[in-house]
Amino acid sequence: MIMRCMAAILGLALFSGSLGEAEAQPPSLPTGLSPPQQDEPNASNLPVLPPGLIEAPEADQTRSDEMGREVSETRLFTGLTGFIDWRVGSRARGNRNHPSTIMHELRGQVRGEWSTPAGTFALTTDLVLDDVEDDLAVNLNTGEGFVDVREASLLLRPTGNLDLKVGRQVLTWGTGDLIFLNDMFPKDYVSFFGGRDEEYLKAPSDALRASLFFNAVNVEFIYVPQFDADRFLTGERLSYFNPALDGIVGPGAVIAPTIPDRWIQDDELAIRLYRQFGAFEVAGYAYRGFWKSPAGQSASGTPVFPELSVYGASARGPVLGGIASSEFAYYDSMEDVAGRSALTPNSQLRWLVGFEREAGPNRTISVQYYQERRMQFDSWARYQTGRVRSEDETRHLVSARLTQLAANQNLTLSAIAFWSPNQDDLYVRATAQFKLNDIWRINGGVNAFAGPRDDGFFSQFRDNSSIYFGVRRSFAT
Amino acid sequence: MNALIKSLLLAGTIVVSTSTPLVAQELDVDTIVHNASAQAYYQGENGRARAHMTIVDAQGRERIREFTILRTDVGDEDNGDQKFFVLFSRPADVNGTTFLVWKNTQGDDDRWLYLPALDLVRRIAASDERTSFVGSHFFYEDVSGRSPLEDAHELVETTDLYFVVDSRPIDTRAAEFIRYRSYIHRESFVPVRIEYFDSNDTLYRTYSALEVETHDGYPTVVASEIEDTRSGGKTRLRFEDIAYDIDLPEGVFQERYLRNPPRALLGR
Repeated sequence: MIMRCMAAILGLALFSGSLGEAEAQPPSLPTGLSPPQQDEPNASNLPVLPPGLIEAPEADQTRSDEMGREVSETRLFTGLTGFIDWRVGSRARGNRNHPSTIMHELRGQVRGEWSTPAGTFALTTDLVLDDVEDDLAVNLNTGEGFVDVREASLLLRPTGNLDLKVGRQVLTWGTGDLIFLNDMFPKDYVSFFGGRDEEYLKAPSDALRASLFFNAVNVEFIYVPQFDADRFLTGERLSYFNPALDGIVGPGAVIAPTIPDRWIQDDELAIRLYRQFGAFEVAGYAYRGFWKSPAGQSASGTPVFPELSVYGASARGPVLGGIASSEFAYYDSMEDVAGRSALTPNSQLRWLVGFEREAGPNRTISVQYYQERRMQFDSWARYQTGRVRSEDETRHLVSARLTQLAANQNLTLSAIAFWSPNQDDLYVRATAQFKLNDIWRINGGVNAFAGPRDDGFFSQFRDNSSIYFGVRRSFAT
Repeated sequence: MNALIKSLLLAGTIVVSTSTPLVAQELDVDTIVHNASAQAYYQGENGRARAHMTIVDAQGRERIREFTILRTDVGDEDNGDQKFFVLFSRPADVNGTTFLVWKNTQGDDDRWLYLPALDLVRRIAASDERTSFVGSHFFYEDVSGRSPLEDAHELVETTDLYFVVDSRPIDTRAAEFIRYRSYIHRESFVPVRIEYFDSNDTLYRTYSALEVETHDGYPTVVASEIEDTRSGGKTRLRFEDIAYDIDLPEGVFQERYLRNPPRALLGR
């Protein structure tokens, strides 16, 4: 240490000397600065041996016989973590259906995990004070009210190659970036478009997840005994296009669908088979259940969730210095009869390709192309009473994302833009997040929708374009 | 042959723990660097450690990172491919996040990140090994190792304690330094200090091994530090709960355990 100080003083003296007259009191070097080093090593430049190398290595600090005990000494409870989050969001312009405040809430989240050798119980619960929603009645399925249980699950490993996870849990698979083809688990578009964090795009499911692992292929079965719909846009909080009223509407025309809710009868089953070939991931998918949003209408005009089966596949892996992904899904609309019902959605073929790569230090870019094609469009269009846009037979969607980390990775800037060339509409989601320290975080973002058509997939939400700002304090016990 | 020399040397250092200058002086520089890399990153067939990082920025503000690392050497080959599993526990906002790396000595690494709040397994498209690991002054490469084959090495000096080695990148575009100088402890092959020099040949970054302990027969750097004068500040890394040659099936380094970490293997 003394050597290094001397070297520092010597180096500083040399350096200041070269600048001209030496100061009587040279400023001390700020933290982190080392003196200029000579090219050739000298005695003062050699590192001092750290403790442990100075003398003969002592007896082992751990011995093998201790290890078995260490491993079994896993802690039952790893402590609570969570956060308190306040955020406010405002629509960018006046809206005849809604007030300007799109989001104003105080949210607290507590996460805990309890583990034994037999299993792990995980609990994540949000408590929400929502200034925009008047109704405080708790509905755990829709996430309404002051309690939103995100996870309450028990993980068991009954045999070496089986994982069983039972209870409330968030479920995700597939390869798209914010586009889900074979992932038929519930999404919360109200949260996502309203200015909550991206993790709230996924709503939890009450499910049994059985994962079986074999050398040839891994198989996952997810059984949902009672259908979980998306938390879709109903008009209450965000406005949408209603074809029956031929306009963008809000709380005056809230969607009140009939949701399939009988236990066991109205269930969902999702299966994934997957394996890796080297660094490439390949998967096949199947789903049997219902359209996740009210895509159909009953004879009396009530929105309904027609039955749906989905079959698909995906692949993802390293290509050209980045990650390429592709996925397709065939949506088999079970209640549709060769497109002859105006009230039931057609079957669809959906597919996407994507590519992501690093584009400089802490910078990532990605692009996606997505297509959605209605299978019996001509027939369906013939039975429509309202106007039908012929280009909607196939919807094209292109997206590009740029993510940049800065300030020692404490600042994350990310923007993704979706543009549909045939529907001529645009959705831009830009977020900024800055970690002031390990406890405090501020973030803000923009959800912007644009396009001339009232009925475009994104442009129907244009009255909901908004900016938001939030402050979060994390904690850990 | 290299492996034989290395094991003889290691046996010598551990059992007798006296310097073996005659043997050492016959070592060529590539063997020294190979042994140092094997010492720093490939000890045992696999290993586990709990890491505690303290990041101090240029203004003296501290941030903490805590994570547990599992490592296995593919085919138990020194300086070959490896797989890493990382479970983050602190700060609170990353608690439960897991990270999987298949380190490929030929070509880019494969990386997966699992975000528990979304149940999302993301593929990370990152080819630059010399970017910050979790916002610290450690690069990915400092945590998982830089292949000795990426640089041309020159033995500058052999002192009583150290091999002093200068290394220059073969692909100069892939590194922000023009050379780095390693002070490799002759007995143990522990790199005690590594100094990085920029294009003006000015020192800007220093790695220091601060404390060494022996675990399961392997001398292990349990405390180290990287100081960077360009970004300012430093990061101190401390390892605890270190174990080598544990019963660690290679199946752990798969998506299954990303989603549900192998808690029994992760130690205390």
